[in-house]
Amino acid sequence: MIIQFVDSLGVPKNEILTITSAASDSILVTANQITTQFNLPLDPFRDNVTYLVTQSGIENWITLGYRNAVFINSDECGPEFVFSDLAIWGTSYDSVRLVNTRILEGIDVNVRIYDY
Amino acid sequence: MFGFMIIRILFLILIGVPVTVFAQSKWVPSAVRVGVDLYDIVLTTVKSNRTIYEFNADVDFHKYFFSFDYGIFEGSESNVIYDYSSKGYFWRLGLDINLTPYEKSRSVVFFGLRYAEAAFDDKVQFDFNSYYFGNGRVIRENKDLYATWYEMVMGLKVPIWKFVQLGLTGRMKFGRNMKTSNSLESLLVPGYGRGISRTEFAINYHLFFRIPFRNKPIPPKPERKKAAVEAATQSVN
Repeated sequence: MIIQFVDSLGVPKNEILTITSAASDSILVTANQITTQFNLPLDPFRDNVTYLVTQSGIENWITLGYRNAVFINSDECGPEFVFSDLAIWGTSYDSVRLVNTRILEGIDVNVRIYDY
Repeated sequence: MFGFMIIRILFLILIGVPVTVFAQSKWVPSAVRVGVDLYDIVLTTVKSNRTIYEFNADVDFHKYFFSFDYGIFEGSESNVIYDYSSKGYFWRLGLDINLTPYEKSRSVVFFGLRYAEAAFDDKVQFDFNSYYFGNGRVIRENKDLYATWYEMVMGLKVPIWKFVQLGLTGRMKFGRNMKTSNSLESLLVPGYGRGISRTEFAINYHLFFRIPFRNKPIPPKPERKKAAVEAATQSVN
């Protein structure tokens, strides 16, 4: 699942921030990464995830919901999680946009956060 | 009293004539065939992770068979990673056409279509380690799932001794429609096979008992066809 930060004109914006998962306290993105978009993991044990984004000492959050299905393709592969139907359940940001509900690993931007 | 008798006679004529005509008709069923799937019994005996029993019945109407199947299914798939189980029942309903209606031995080669439904529960459980979200046991369950599909069938039924017949049916299953829950994509659908497949193929081996309740003569081959065959034979000679 990819989150992209853009400016008011929609141009991708480099960010230095820390992203943690509210449920597990795991650090997903450390502050030494400078990039416009972040590929974030979804919680396989739940149907939603809350990311806490800390940027210049200010903390924001965004909660995403999704369909989390277990799929067994074959004995060899075993069970796999299939995430789909992404939705924004809530956020502290002023402006966010769901760009793509399909979750294809590392391919398309799903959520755009307008960071002024 | 006289009026009542006239009404009774008229009633008998009105009802009796069509019944008599219908009774002589080729559309009146002559036998019921009931059977079991032998392959499923063998599979149930040999494999510890499968319990399948399937019962079949059909009745003839002219050169057609109205067919009904009912089955119960309990199956599991497991390895060191996961345990999956599925339990439920299925039924099929359809019509077959007898492609060999003039066969003196009453052997039948048929082609038919079926509509099928399955109702079942399934469950998977496994341990999962996530780098970001920790470790835990994942248990996903579907209750009262419901699947429908269609089948194109072709097969044969051969008398082997008196009323006992053996049968073979090849099935192409398609048009599966399943209302799955959000949490688990079903692996095993009773009567269908692997839930993720859009098309499934199967073969059934049946043991049938044909129970006749009226004598239905084997119809002679139509004269036109016979004449055409004779003409063709003469022209070859």
